Amino acid sequence: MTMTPPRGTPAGTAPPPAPSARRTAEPQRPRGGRLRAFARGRWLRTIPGRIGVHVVLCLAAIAALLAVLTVAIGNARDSVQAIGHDAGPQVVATGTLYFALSDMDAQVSNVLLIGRDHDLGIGHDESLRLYERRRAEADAAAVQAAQLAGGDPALRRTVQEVLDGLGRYERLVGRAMELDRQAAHPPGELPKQVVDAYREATDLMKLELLPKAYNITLDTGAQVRQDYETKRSAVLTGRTWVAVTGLVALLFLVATQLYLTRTFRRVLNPPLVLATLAALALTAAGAGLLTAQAGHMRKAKEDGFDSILQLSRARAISHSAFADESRYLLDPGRADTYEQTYLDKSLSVIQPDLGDAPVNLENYHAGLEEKLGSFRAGEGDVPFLGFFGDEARAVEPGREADALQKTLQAYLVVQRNDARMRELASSGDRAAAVDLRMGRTSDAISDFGAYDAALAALTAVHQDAFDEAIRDADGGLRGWNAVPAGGAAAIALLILAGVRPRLAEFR
Amino acid sequence: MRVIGAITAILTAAALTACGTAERDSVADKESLVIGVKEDQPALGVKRPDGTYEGFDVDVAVYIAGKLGVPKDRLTFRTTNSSVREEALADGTVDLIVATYSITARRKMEVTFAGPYYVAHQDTFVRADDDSIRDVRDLAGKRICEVTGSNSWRRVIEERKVPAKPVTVDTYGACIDAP
Repeated sequence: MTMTPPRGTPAGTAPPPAPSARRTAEPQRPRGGRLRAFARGRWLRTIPGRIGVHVVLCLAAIAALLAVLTVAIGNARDSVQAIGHDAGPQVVATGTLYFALSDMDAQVSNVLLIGRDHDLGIGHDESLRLYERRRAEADAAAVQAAQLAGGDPALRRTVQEVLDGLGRYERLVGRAMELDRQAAHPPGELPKQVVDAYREATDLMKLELLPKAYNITLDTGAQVRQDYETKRSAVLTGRTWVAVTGLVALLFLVATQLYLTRTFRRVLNPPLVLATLAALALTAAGAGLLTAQAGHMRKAKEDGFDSILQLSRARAISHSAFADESRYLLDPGRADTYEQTYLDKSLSVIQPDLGDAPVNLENYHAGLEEKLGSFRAGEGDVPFLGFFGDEARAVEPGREADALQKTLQAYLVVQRNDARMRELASSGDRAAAVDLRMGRTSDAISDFGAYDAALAALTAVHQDAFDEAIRDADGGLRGWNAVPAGGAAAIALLILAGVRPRLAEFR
Repeated sequence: MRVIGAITAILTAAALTACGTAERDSVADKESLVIGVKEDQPALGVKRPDGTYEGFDVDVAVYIAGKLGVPKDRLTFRTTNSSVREEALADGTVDLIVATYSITARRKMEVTFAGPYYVAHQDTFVRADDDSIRDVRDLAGKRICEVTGSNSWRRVIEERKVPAKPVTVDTYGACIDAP
């Protein structure tokens, strides 16, 4: 081992001329003198002093890298937890509240419409069974909503009001059902008092409960979106900081390497080279991980969460529109109103461009045939708006496009049945219209079932995308419990191992 | 069947302007705001003789601006009629609109709706001495007000197929004054 002639003054050969050192009474240099000497900075001119400065700067930069990595990864972890495991799925569950409430009223309208003919449609008992099931689902969803509300008093109040209103609704429904039983009317010929009792119930549902239920999903969904945006930008800012501190650490390590090379006339210091490579690897891997996490989060939010919520709303509205057909038949006094709400709901699901034609149901049906007939999901421009228009504009080829295509075609069949049913009803043959709507002379019910199943399959594609993104995000983070700390410790040890032999030359 | 109070803000300046396709800054970061309201809807948005505005929508607007960190003295209210809402948002004449505004699929393609903050249902407004109109069906053969840019008349004439005769004017205030 060749001793490199040290430049500058080695430590100890030139004690700083501290005033206190002249005092003979004190054999050892007092502390104050050392501090003063330190402050004067003469030690900086020594080689071990300078090596020390290099080492301290390198270690500080590595510590900073560790700190920003830890914070950024913590943000990524929080975000995955919120959207993937806590608030995200809960918000989706509150979407069930709207559907369950809306379908309760749909089942009531079916029961009242068929009257004493208990086997018509899906049947009296099956409708009641579904009604009870939706009631239970609504309760379960309200519990989720109450949990999400946490400390938000306005949201808690809304949830409470929905539950209170549901109690009132059930009393009104009970009365309508009782009157219906007593009347024992033939299908589609409801006595006035049954219609009036049902109007009270359905108005309460439509004007109070459903808007409130929708607000719950909107409010909690907005919380998730805000949380997502804050966390995602924190992760991306964290990535910038990781890159900056990583770069600083690399610069210090290279500077140390150069200093040692120049001072000791050695080509490379192997442990320092390793430390530099390790710091480079940690920075790159950390920044890469954060980029990937931001990507997983975006996919989970946009391709998963957003789409699932939209489709769940499309499903609820479709069921509600289907029930408007029953209401249209059971309450002739309001038939025009129910035809209009049916059109409104259908327009929100798919709105074909009708040009200058008046917006009515006949033109809607014609517009659907024209725009959907030749449309292929995933190819070319989307000639319609509404939930499925949004879905079609964002659709990915393959499984998702196939599922959307099936859903659109099934929707077209449902609308064709609607057109036939209304033709019969407006020609005065209400009994035939009821038979058609209830599936006695058509496949109207199974066609709607097929549409619902296709929509469920499309939702499942997005659920899979969501689950996959969350799984990837969880998997990506799993290894990173120990990596930053372990990596930083290894780099620190390598730095110390690199300079220790050089410092030893001065002992 | 509803008019919906909605807050809207334009997302991008594309599409409607010939020159610009650049994304505009979010109104959430602005120091001061210009808010579009109606001037002729009693209790919702009304312009007083002294030029100031009052009503529920104005209160909501002040509240929202406060949450965005913009105090009342840095707010400018501007009358924005139904016919010019999308344009006013697109060309930046107003930053937000806080007013009755039906959320439709077509409008969603041009503006971003936040809300609804209040769901009102649509009603028919008739002269106090006119007792021939009991519900919407009685509008058959009657003259109804069609405000440019508003959807409401369609709901009666097209969706309900009630053969009322539309009379086109520019504002709801003009409906009341129409002969």
